[in-house]
Amino acid sequence: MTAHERVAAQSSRLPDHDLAFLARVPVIYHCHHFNLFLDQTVDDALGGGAGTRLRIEAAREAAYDLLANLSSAAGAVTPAERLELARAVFAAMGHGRLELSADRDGGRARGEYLHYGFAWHEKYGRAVRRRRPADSFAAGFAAAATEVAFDIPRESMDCTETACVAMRSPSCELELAPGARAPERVPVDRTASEAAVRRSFGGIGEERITTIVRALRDFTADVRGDERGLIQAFGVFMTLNVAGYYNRISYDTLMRITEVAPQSVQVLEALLRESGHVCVFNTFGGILLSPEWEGLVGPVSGGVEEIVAGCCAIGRALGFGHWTITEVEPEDRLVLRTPSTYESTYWRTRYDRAEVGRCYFLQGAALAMMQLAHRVPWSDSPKLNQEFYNDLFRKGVPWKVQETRCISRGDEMCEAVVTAC
Amino acid sequence: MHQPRRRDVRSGRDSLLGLRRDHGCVRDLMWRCDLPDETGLDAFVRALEHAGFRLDDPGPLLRILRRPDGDAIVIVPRTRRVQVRVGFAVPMAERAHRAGEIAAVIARAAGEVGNTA
Repeated sequence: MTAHERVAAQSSRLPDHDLAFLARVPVIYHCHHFNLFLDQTVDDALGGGAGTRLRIEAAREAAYDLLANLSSAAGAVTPAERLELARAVFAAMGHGRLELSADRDGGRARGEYLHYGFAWHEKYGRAVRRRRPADSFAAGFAAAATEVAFDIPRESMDCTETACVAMRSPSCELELAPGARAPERVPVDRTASEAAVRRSFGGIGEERITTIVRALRDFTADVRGDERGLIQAFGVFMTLNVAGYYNRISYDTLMRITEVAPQSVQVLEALLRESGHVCVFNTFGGILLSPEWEGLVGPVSGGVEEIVAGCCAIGRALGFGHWTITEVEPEDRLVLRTPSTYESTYWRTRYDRAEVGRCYFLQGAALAMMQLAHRVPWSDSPKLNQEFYNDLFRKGVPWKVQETRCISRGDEMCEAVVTAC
Repeated sequence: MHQPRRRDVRSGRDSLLGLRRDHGCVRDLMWRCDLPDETGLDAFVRALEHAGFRLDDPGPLLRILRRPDGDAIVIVPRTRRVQVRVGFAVPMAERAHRAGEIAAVIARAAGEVGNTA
């Protein structure tokens, strides 16, 4: 069985809620623009050292559950079998090539085409000199793979990236060593997700959205890492990643800033929302303009409802939740509702009831959908590059968004309302 | 190859069918050209197979052909959009040239097929 077949065999969904799982662990697709932006947001908020530490620990926690479940399902018993499984799954998920040479006392790992470092170098390398390694996710993954392979306690192996292509090294080098054991947290798995989601419902254009989702799922089912272990599609580098990684680095950062710098919380929340802009602009936009979309759905004409419905379908297919349209008034208003988001599932499982909406990605995505629906000349083959992104999102956005209901607050749905400023 | 000439495929074997960078082009990897309306798709795909491409996805909505070197051609039958995907292993400086070579293969295939729609 190939790694791709193994991933496919262990993939499942909550079909009415559009949440995806790999070996019962929540997973989603995100592109390198989003991945790099969110990592940078964490570093900007916490500082590079603490940001790196958090991201490694979040990746280690997320990857441990994934690899332990996959090893069990695959009947991988020996350390060699488990390390090989980890290597193959890492590449199949689009994270690059990671060769592990470790035992229960630690060891080394060597990375080539690691998603974060490689993509950072591709996007910024010619203009910016990076001072810190970029592959915290790979470091956490390598630590978890070692823990699972040698049956040593989870959250106990440490990993440091000592050389990184983002810092112009020829390859990425990582060192593994036993460290202080971090506390375990409540698992956020399929069972927790089933408990967190609310009764499902439909919205405007449901039949059309459902049809598109089916076609996109068929297509994404065939997406896999190439010889480099990268998934290059729609003009971006995609990854299949554990949702818990994104959630933990976002919410742990939020908690920390709330504690030590409450005056900066609004800035952080705005940046977490902007991660939704980055994703919708680059990935959703890339999909809408792709030959795959043109073939499966047809060329985009640029109607507001068409774009919003298309974006809801893409969000569902990528595993973000069962996004539905409740209201859409061109130039005026959009109301999205969903009985499930990957963010609220995590929040409800790990935290007390929230006082405000906590689905920052959903909020930013909803706003970005309106911007894409109104300000992108779809029929003129637009170039979705950084310059256009800056024009659309960094020179005054004519929309505001509020999450008026949220499952994290105990509501029966999450609701993002976008209105004209 | 910043602005390749667009010529009628029937007027010469070296036409590039309006080859240009596609919207999602990163580092010269994705290019686009358009198939003339009169070219029959099935015959065109067979001609590409004879030129060394293998049909990976024969679906009615999208046809994807690949070569062992990593280059690929994606055809959207309903709009006749053709996307040229240069293999990532091709050095950056050679990718535009490679895209032109593939477009020439496409144009020759279309020319051989002629008016078969």
